Amino acid sequence: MTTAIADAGHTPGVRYGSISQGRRRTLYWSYFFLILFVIVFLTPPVYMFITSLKSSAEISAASNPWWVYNPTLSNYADLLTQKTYLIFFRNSAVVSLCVVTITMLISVLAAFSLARMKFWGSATLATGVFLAYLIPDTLVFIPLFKTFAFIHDKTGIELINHWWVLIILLPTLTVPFCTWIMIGYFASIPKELDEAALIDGAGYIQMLTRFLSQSRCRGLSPL
Amino acid sequence: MADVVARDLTLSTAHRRLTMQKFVRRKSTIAFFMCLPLILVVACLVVYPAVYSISLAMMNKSMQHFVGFGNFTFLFKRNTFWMVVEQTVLFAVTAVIFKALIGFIAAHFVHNLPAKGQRKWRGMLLIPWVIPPAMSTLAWFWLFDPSYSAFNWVFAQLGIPQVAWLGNPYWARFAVILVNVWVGSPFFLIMYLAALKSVPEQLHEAAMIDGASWWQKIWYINLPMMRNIIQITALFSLIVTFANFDIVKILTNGGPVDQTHVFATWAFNWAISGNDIPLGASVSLFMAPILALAAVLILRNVRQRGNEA
Repeated sequence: MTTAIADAGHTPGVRYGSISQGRRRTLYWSYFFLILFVIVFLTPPVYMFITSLKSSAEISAASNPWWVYNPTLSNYADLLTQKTYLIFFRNSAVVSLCVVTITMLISVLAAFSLARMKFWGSATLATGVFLAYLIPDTLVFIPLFKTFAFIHDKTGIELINHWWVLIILLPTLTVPFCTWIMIGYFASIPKELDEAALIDGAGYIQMLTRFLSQSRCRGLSPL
Repeated sequence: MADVVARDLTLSTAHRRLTMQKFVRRKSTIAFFMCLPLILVVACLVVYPAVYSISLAMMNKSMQHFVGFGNFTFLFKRNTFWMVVEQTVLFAVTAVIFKALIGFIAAHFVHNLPAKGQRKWRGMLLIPWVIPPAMSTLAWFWLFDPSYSAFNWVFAQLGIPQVAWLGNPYWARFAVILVNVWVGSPFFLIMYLAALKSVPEQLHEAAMIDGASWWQKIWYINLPMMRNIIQITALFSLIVTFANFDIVKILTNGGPVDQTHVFATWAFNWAISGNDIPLGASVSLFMAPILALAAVLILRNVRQRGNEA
């Protein structure tokens, strides 16, 4: 605004306001490149969506794969009336709910005690959690496969090829990560708060629940 | 009067010391019990399998007796193993470099926008990262598919010769890296955007007054200020990419004549498809040295940052 006024008041040829012009130019270029990025980033999901609206005859026809000529919802209808799909869906829902609950319970408790209640070996344990997060699941799955086979031999409990085994397995990935995140979160809450709480006679558990109820959204949303 | 007060004081300090002692004892026990589930999970599901995989790697195929380093020497003699090593390193390093570059560039563009519109763009750019990789890889698989390939259709319209995306070893490698970059770069974007936001605006203003070009601003202000985040993010991503499994497994499954196998998929092939668990375990153990190196670097970095703060 101001530069435009300044421009008007001066003789042409003197380049006033080049900073704001430069800013506008970077803004346009930013939009241009961001649109490119978004196109590239969204291609596969959009393509998936487009394909999901096609009938199988249209997919195999040699027409433009990027456009639907006869959109149909029959694929979705088929899925929702199919029994197996609903079972899969329920499995996913149950697994994710259970895993989230377990992970939350374990990692919130542990992160709180690691970040707030210094005890013998707490620093080592925090580092250990971080290292456990770094161990890739692909390194761990072969021994676990073997262990499950062993358990099957000994007790007859079949663990491989069951969907609910995921509830036991997935915390491997989520627990160290969440604990690591939550440690950082609890460390960011000022220490004076819990000292005040202690003086007021609050127990540790009470303190934890208060913290969580106060500002849980920020720390817990990544889960 | 005075001595009563004094006695009261000593009494209360002694009393307080006692309760403090009790309190400390109680606090550490509570803390330990709160950590116990975590310790159990980590011990049973991470530490035990990791140690067990070392012992597994030293068995023979039927897991009856100990063969020492037999599996490793067997691996060293195979050409495929060295090919897998080469491919894993190539895959991880190239993918991380491109993810970092794209994330860095995109973060700058998003940062240039007015604050109001940023949310929308950030949300759109984060989509590849929030879709489960198994699903988005499937979408890519269809895009690359030889008979209905959407990319080849575009190429045909433009008169460019068709490409066998997943059939040709070189293109298959390219495809695997491309999908990995696509999945991973939003993570870099978000990390770098957070780092950019923490660069003080005054520095840019001062640089602008001094007539610095955009390149000088990035090179002399943003890069040094973001150094820590760039390092940590790259190391993290290197670990994850090194151990990548699902993208390669779904997209090429090791691909034309084992050309796109990485450690994880090759280990899976040996152990679970090929029924030779010890060999698979020893393959997957080769991920350990690079992980240890990256872990040491990250920890040193984190500690340094802690000292500075």
